[in-house]
Amino acid sequence: MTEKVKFKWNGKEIEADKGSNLLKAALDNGIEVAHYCYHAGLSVAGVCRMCMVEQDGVPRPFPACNASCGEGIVVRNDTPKIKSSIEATLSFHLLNHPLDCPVCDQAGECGLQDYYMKHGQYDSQMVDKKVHKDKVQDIGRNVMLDAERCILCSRCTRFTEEVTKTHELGILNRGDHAEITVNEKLKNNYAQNLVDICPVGALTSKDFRFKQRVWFLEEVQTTCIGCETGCSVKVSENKNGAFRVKPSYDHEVNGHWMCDDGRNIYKHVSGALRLFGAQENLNGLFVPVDEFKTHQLAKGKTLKFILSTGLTNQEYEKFFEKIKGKSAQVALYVLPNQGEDFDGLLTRGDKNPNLRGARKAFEDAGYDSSQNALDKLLSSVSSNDAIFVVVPEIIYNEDHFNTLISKVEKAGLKIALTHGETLSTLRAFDFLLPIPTFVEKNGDIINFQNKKRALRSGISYGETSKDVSYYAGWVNL
Amino acid sequence: MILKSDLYREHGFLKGLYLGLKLTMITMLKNIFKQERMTLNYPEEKYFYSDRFKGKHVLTVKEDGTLRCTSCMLCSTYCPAQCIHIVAADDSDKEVEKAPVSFEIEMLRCVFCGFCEEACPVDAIRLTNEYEMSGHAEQEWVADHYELAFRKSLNNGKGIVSTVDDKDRLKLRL
Repeated sequence: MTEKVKFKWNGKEIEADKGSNLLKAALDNGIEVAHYCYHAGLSVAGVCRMCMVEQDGVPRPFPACNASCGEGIVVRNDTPKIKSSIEATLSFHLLNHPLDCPVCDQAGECGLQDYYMKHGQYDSQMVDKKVHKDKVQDIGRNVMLDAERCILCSRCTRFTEEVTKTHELGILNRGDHAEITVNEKLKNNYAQNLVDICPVGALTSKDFRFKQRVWFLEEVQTTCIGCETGCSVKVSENKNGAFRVKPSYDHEVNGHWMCDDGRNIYKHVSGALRLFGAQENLNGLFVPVDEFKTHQLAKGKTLKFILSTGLTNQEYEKFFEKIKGKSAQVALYVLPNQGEDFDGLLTRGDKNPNLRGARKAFEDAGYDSSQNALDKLLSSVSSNDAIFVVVPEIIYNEDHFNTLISKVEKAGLKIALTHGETLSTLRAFDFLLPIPTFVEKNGDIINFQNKKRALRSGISYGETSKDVSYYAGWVNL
Repeated sequence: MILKSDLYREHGFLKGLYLGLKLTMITMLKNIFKQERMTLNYPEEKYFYSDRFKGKHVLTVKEDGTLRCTSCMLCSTYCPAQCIHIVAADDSDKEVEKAPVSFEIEMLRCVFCGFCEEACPVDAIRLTNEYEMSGHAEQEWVADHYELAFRKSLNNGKGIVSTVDDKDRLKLRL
């Protein structure tokens, strides 16, 4: 237990750990302090000089990010001296800034815009020519660099030095010619975090580039389903679709970061292949059909379900409740491991988002979730069966899933429960029935630490009112 | 009611009636013999509105003939009718960086408030004094950027050149 100290910031009493970062203590207590270079997940640089404070008994202002909390200190950042200091600092930051906000993707969530509206001078005192640097540089891993917009806060270089330890970025030259440079191309799997931590529009995402303005987007706080880690993420979306995934702070799981693979998990949510209702396979072409037809065809057949590991605990629970005491066979399809088991930061080889929850639900309901049970179910498939396969939302290894599809071919009625017509091999199925994706359902999943993490629903882009348990209700025909 | 009007109150009923009818008769006779009419024989005669009139939109072009719009989406953000739909994309020119691939205005939704014109940072969209926008119900009432920028009435299909060209913009950047 660390010692707690009390001090005053603008007259407000704050309690914090002794010796902890002064700026962090203020930010954690809901005080707005302008800052660019400080990031809670990185080391302190103290280069932006925006978080200046005055302390009683100290003659000069100093940056709060480089100071520590002490008992009884009295700190202010609302004095005229500090205000003029921030104003002057900001005008230095903006000296060579190209002001291309209309074409900049960061506009709307830009630190320069925000603080300029708050602390700005509104009149440029610059008379000389602005220094021009290289624009629109593709530095790899879906990151675009615009050296002109950079304010040299050095967050990105510290990220590649401290978090990924790959050292791709550096600051070259001196004075107003200093600029962020990449030695080759970015090569780490966490590169798009640079886009998030960049307080201005210098580093932007190529994937999100010019797709939407950020003020049109709403953020849904949910959990990543890319692997078993279960990072806490925010999905930005509006009625036109989902557009990007950003990490949100969760100190137990992912801290401030997430991997680049996880940034792609939104793509199937609002794509052109999304399912809006039941579809029937007519010689390889899927056409909309009334779900009632499927219902009728399934009558009198033995129903067999192959569940995926991407459902929520609540969905498993409801599913097993529906088929309780009825003669349905259920097995679990587990996605194969992909890549190394653990890359040392966040990504894990086990790509099943809720394997632990699924196993527990199978156990509680008295079903076998092992590979043997799946093999047994597949080997017993006959023409009198109606087989329901829940297609996993994200499939890294398509071949592995396609072998599963090839094994169910003997069934009389083959139905895929899927969010969309994502794989060409889905043509082996007779019907496609829609289920919601991860941003369209509320529920819990259990991550690699056996901890519950929540999925939250935002806007719906397809038929989402029917989940797996709805189709399980067809068993008692 | 009519007896309460100023004319009757001042002059009494009979004189008031006489004065009122006199004005009516004078105007009628004037119209019969002098043909002073307020209406126009539309469409043979057309009324000319001033340049400040808020009529059909125009997208301005740069000197090289490409669209001036940088697709910053400020107009579609401000638009109270939400009738402006822009799809942006990368431009091959690094200095331009972002340009629209599609710019559509739903003409029936538009309320011609002129907010888009005010929001635009680069003089890319203007409202003209073109007011003839009649058409058929089955017609698509979505104006795309070919119609908005290069219709016949605008400089014979060449488009109107914006006051802010990229060259000027780069000069402004010093």
